[in-house]
Amino acid sequence: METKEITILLVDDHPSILRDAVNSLSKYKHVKMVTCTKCDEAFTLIKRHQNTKPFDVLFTDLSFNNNSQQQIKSGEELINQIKKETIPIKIGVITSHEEINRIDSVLQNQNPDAYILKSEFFSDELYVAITTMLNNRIFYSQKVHLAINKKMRIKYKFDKVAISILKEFVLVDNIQNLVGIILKPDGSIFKKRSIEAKLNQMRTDLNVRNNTQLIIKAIQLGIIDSPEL
Amino acid sequence: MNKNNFLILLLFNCLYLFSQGNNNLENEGFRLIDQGKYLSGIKKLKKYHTTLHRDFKKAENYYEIGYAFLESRAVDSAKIYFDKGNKLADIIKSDTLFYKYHYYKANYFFASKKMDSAYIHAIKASEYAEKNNSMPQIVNTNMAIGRILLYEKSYKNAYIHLKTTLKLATYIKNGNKKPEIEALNNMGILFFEEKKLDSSLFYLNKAILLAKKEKYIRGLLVATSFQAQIHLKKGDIDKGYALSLEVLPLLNQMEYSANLDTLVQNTSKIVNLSKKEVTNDKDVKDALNLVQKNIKIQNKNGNTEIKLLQNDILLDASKNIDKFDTVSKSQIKKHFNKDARIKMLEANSRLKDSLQITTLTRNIVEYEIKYESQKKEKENLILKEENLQKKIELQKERNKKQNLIIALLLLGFILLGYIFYEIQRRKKIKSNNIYKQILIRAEERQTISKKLHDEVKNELDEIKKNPKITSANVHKIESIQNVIRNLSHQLASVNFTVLSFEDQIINLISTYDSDTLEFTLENLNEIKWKNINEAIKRNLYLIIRESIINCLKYANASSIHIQFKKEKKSITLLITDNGIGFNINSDYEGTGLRNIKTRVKELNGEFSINSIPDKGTSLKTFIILS
Repeated sequence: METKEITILLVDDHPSILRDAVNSLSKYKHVKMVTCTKCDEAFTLIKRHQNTKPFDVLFTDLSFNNNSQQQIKSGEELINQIKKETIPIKIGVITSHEEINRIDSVLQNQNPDAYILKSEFFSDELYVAITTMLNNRIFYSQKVHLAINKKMRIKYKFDKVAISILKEFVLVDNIQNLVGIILKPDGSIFKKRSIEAKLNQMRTDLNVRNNTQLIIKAIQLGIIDSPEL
Repeated sequence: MNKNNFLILLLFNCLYLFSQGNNNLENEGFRLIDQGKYLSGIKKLKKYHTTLHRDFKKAENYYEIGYAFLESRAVDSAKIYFDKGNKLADIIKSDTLFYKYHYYKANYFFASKKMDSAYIHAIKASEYAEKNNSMPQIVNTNMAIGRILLYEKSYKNAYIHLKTTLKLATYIKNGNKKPEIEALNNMGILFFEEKKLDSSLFYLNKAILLAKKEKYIRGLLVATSFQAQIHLKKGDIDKGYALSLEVLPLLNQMEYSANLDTLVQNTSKIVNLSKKEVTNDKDVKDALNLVQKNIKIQNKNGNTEIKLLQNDILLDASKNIDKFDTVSKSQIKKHFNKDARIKMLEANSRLKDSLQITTLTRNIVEYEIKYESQKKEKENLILKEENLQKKIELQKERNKKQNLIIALLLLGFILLGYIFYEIQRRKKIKSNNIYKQILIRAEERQTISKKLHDEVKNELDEIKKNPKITSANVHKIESIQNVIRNLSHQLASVNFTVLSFEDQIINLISTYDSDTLEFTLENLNEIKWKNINEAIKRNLYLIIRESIINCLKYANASSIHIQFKKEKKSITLLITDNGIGFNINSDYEGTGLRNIKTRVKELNGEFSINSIPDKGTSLKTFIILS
């Protein structure tokens, strides 16, 4: 069975990383790899191929040391530029930035389809990431996953309203039934719309699709205890 | 001369009649008209008319022709030309023409003895004259009003108008003395009517002198006629007669219309009769007939005044019969028998009554007009006062506005001054702050270099001495990694534009949260951090980070409690740990704590530290929101 050809653009200012990546993907014959070292170049390439043979996936670093004369100075800016022009391409980040603040910022502001840490880099991870992304799902390195989960656990652990919504939601089957039960710190009642907004925020934060998954994830993360059935 | 006295008396009366009938209003005119050659003048004017193109001039010309006709006693012809002028005046709508329109209408009505209409038009003409601000026009209208009043026997008012006219007439430029002569004549007539003969004589003398000098025959004629009449009244018949003879050639020079010519001819005949050496009955009879003919001619208008005048003359004549011891006494007596005299007297009283009634009615009309005008004047006065009041109010309001603007300007100045002062003050504070920040940074750099030297360099040196992969060395490398990570955190600038304050606090906690160190956090989400000053957030973040690091380094705590409290205008941050604590009285104070203190002070806040050995430490930060 012949697999569809996948074209990938990789941009990184460290040639060693480019070499490693090309090597790691060389065994997959249908994956075609193009590399460059500057953001401006990458953007021009994407634009040029857009109407003839567009790239399926872009992997980019976040920090570039060679950016002094470039229009686009960072991976974040490159992603923003692509999103601004709504170019249909899957975007993955390959970076050594594992500080939670940077990860958090990139996930919130640039929302890439993948976040891969260089320290975690192993040959098959890249290919797994590519296929995950092309299946419209999100891929994070293990460490990123853990960091995000930890952050969310901490965030919601101290959010009394979120916890009470989650706890009560296990016991009732309808959001309407939560109205009157969930109270603000000053004792006033939360409206249905506010509860829905809060649930929506949690679903996004914890990267789940529905409320059932949300409860399961919350229990997994230790935000709430599993209900006593 | 005595035998002719009666004839002379008739002559006087005839002349008086003549000058009374000749009582038209005057206006500036042409040389011919001034000399009384009206018909020749009219001919010339008509010829002149054919050369005119502009309607305005044509209208003026029509009025002049009409006036000349009026002077020559051809009232109907005058009316035709006045109407022609009026038509044009209606189209052109010029104030000068409107003046003429009313002035000549007044003249026309005066000549037709319709005094009410004449008075109204004269008043209107005077309004236009004042509007046009023309001295001749003002003089003429004043004189017209004066004459109408004189005719109406309203002597007091007439005197006022004529006196004014006389004064104003002397001011007329270009040396036109005609109005002045007319005014003098009218004054003379006025005093004559009032029976103040000396005053009358004084004015008429003046008029005669001036008229002779100016060769103004019409003026001279009127003045001389009245002088003759005065001398007769005074009893100086010879002088009166001599003057009457002077009048006659003047009369002959005039070109009157047909009727008036007959009048003049009749008068001349009487004069001729009076010149006869011997007077018989026939002469007296002829003279009487001539007088009656003249009276009839004058009487064509059929108005009361003339009838009265006629009777007066005849009565006067009959009264004087006894005075003169003439041959023809019996003849005259035939004409003036007792019955005839009684009839005449009766008629006279009837006429006087009717005249009085008409005068009364006229007076009423006059008073009504006066009352109306006074009323209007009052209304105008009230309106003026109201306007003044409004103006004053407007001025007040304007003043108020001005005051307000001035106050606002002052306020603006004060505000500007304050802003300037504030900017300067802030600059000063800023520079102070910058100076402090520089100090802090320098200190921080020193700490970092010391750390690098003490911790990293020493470890690296040791690895260098024994460059093998041993578990000890791996441990050392890991510790170096930690030091570098912490330093890089410390050096990284903190801002909340890409990642919110709440997220960064959570991330900070999640970085240090572990099995051995548990965090609790209160009220982070209860504060709207978006609205809070960046500098405050940065310092709160740094304080939390510093205390966590301190805790890890020295306190050996197993839990850290972070609590925010938001009041209306302040934020309190309380960080408590359950570590080993330290003695706050001891001199020891790390750079971290010192930095925290300086930062809080910069924000006009309060920072306090409380620690009990073996129980834990609590840091309290209180910041006022500006």
